[in-house]
Amino acid sequence: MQLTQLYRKIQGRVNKAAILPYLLTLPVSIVLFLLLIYPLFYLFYLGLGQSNFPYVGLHQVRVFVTSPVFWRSSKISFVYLLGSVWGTVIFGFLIAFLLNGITKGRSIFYIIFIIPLAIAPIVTAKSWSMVLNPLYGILNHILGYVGIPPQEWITSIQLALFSLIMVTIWRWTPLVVLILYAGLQTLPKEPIEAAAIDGAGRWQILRQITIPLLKPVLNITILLQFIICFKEFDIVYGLTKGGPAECTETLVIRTFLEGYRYMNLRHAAVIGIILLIVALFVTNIGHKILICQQER
Amino acid sequence: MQRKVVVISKYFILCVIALFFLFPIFWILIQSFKTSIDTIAIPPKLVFSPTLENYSCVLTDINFFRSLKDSLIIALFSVFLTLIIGVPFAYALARFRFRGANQLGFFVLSTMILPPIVIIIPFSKIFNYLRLLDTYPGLILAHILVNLALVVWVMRSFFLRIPIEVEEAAIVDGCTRMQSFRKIVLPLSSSGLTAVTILSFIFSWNELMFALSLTSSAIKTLPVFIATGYVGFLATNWGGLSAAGIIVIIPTIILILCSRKYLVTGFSFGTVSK
Repeated sequence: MQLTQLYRKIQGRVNKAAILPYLLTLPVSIVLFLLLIYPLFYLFYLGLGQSNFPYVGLHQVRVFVTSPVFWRSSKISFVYLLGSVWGTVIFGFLIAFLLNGITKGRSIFYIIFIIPLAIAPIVTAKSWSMVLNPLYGILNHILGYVGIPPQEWITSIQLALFSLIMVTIWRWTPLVVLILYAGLQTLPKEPIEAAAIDGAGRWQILRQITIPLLKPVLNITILLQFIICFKEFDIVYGLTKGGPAECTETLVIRTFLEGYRYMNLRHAAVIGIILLIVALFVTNIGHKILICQQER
Repeated sequence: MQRKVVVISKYFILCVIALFFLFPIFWILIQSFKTSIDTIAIPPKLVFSPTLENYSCVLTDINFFRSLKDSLIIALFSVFLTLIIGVPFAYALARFRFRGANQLGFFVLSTMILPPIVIIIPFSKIFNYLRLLDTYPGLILAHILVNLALVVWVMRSFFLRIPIEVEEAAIVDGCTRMQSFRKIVLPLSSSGLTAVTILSFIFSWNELMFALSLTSSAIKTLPVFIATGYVGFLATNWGGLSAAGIIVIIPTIILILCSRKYLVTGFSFGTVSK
């Protein structure tokens, strides 16, 4: 009698244990289906389907994808990504390296360097547009003291994209500093000391020991920065909204404008699909890098 | 001697960089104390008679308070709901081997990787159909998507750091699995929970894109208010905008400074831990 009861109790527990992970993951699965998978199917329907007979959906897609507007946006996105990803990573590495090299006042500098992460991107964009304004902006005023003529930072075709990259660097370099500074602190000290004893210079140590040791963290950082800058909307929207003369219209901004200004959901959905594919492609590569690291 | 020069130059470069990072914040702070005319003076005024007029305007503005209420409701509810569904999910990912675990984990991660606009385009259609546009539940649902990956992946990395033996001991002593989760694992990872709560609150508080596209008149979160509220047809009220901006960023700066120990884990989704 007692034995069967015990047996039942154990069996009940085993079954429960088998179901438990599914119970725990059920809510998120439902949310993911409703908020991610179903909308993505709907995105494909908006972009490719939804056409009267005869079917001209793909034709319209081809016309749009080969149009100069689309290629201009792709080019702008590419330049923007290249500038802001490498800008943030190199600048962030420099700061983390300097921060690691000093002894006093580390925490004060650290606090200063992480503040931009807290600030709402739209406030960042608005305060920069006050700084960069060609007429009453403070930057031109300061540059005037050094003898540099006033520049049209966000209102000229030549400089607008550059200014956007600069503000993006301001916004996202702190993240690189955070990660790389933490990475630098966990590096073993022995190889660097040994190299110094063997007579290696600072530059040699940096190039041949510190950077290779930091490589796994650097890879993650570059991937993270790519993902973040690929998504960036707030700063571009707050500063230029794609202008002047549409020369800062990244793919993300173009999608937004197609959807909400020109009311052309099909075009918006087509760019959305392309963004989706690029994002997933990069994730896949990134995923592999991370797995390689974990195995090492 | 050479050593000293190197150290001094390091401090010098760091100070210059710190100036670069502080300057826009400093400038918006300065502008918030100027009158509307002083904010667009040419050349810009560095010496002026400070006024609190902008702050008193913002703090008596009914629209600002409505936005503040909207932002708080949306951030708090979405963070709460994300935690409720995300933390057990993270626990399952960390502790159980079950079918589809990797795929589910990847799907969650992909919500962070996808540009929000990709999901917003179909959202605006679906939400329109479900009458969720411009409502609290609609934006709260959308913000769950913003924070889910953060909560799941960071909590997973915290759970993985708790040795399994602790839980085994609890189960041997007669706890069920859920009891050991509630009474052992959650208290042990309370620092992670705090960090995730703070960070996802900040993300939701600062989020512009979903709020801009999925709401219009009935609901206006603070970022949308700042983006649209002070920009007129001919001119922008920079003084008011600056004061509102300062009020919006003060809580997040305080929060991020309080949680700075966990920022690395939080922002890198648990891939880098200090």
